[in-house]
Amino acid sequence: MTEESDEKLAEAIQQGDLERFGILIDRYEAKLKRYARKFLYNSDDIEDQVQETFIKAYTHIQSFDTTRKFSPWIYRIAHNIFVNELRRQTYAPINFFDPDTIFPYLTAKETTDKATLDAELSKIIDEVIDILPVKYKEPLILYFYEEQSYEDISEILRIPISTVGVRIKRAKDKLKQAYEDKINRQNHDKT
Amino acid sequence: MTKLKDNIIKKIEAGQVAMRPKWQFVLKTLLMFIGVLLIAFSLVYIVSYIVFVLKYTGAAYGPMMGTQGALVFLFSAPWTLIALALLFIIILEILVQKFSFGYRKPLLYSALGIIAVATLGTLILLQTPLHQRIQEKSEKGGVPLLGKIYREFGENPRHNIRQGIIDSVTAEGFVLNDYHYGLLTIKINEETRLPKRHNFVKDMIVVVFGEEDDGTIYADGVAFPNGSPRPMPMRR
Repeated sequence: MTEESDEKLAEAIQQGDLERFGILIDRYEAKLKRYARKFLYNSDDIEDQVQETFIKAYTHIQSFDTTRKFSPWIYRIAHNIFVNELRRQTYAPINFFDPDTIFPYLTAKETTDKATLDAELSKIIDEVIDILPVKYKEPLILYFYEEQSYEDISEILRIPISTVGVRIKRAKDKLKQAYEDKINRQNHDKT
Repeated sequence: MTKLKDNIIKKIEAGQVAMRPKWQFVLKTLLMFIGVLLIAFSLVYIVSYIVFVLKYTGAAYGPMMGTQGALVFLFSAPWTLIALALLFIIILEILVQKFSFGYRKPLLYSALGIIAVATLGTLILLQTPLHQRIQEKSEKGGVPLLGKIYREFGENPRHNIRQGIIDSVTAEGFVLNDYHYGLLTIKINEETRLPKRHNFVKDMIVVVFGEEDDGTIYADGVAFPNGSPRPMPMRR
């Protein structure tokens, strides 16, 4: 028997089916915790924030358009909750307009060699990801760890698709530089 | 069942967490859409009024008159309204970014779209006599709320701009029947900036730039505001 799609489950939840909501929690709990782990500094917050994400998804389920994909919708809720929590922790200001989102970018297209990049970058990412600002960290996490497409990341973060590509590219460049610097320091310390 | 899932399901079953009804989300979207439309119409109204006021006072022709004229334009422009229009553009941009057609494309595209809609709306509204009628009624003391604004921007002394009808042509220029200041002697010299084919005739509508000295203006520039609104004379 084929597994019910997330969208079908959401439609049933909108009709009051609580059991199907439980299935959605099973599908997304580990993913959202992994996403939160890369985002929030204090691991004690992760369980609370993920719980709040599911609660908000339930209370707002009637706002979900079942003709669209469910995954970006719940990740959007998670993003908002994690960002608010991060702002609360770091007292960061709210930006209405980000310079990255103003102009179109011609070169930022989704590439097909993602699998190759995964192997090379996952080690680098784990070691130095905390140096990245949130605006670069998030699309990188969503793309490499949560396997979201550029289009879905655009929906989650509410930024232009071309900006998604630019930020992922910049994130990779910064990580590679940070990793090289780290290796150089380690080699220098050895000598 | 994980602890997290158990907590959530228990809260829902206990009634601590409830689904919000669909009509709330529909209403929110509808209100936002209405808000966008209201702000867009307000923006069109303000921008069209700015253009009307610039033409009504004659300041619109200032930039054609060289540095002096450009300075006249700068001093006469309704900067409060221009700042309000910019604020409305920013608010509209923030609202448009809430919709997928706004955030999926670079901000520049939606900003240009807003400016294009405001420009088109302004051109359409300026074809109607709306602002002219409100201006006329406000100068007679009517129009309770808007009248004050129309009088403020339409009647204030304009810096070195005079607009009116040529009463008679003289050897040195012409006599202008200014809409607000009555008869003024206009003297034209070699340095006066004039439009091409400047045949001054009686009853022609003109805009004159220059400092007034006891009822005489040594014109820095003269323009023919074709299609310009024709204000009613002030009560004396």
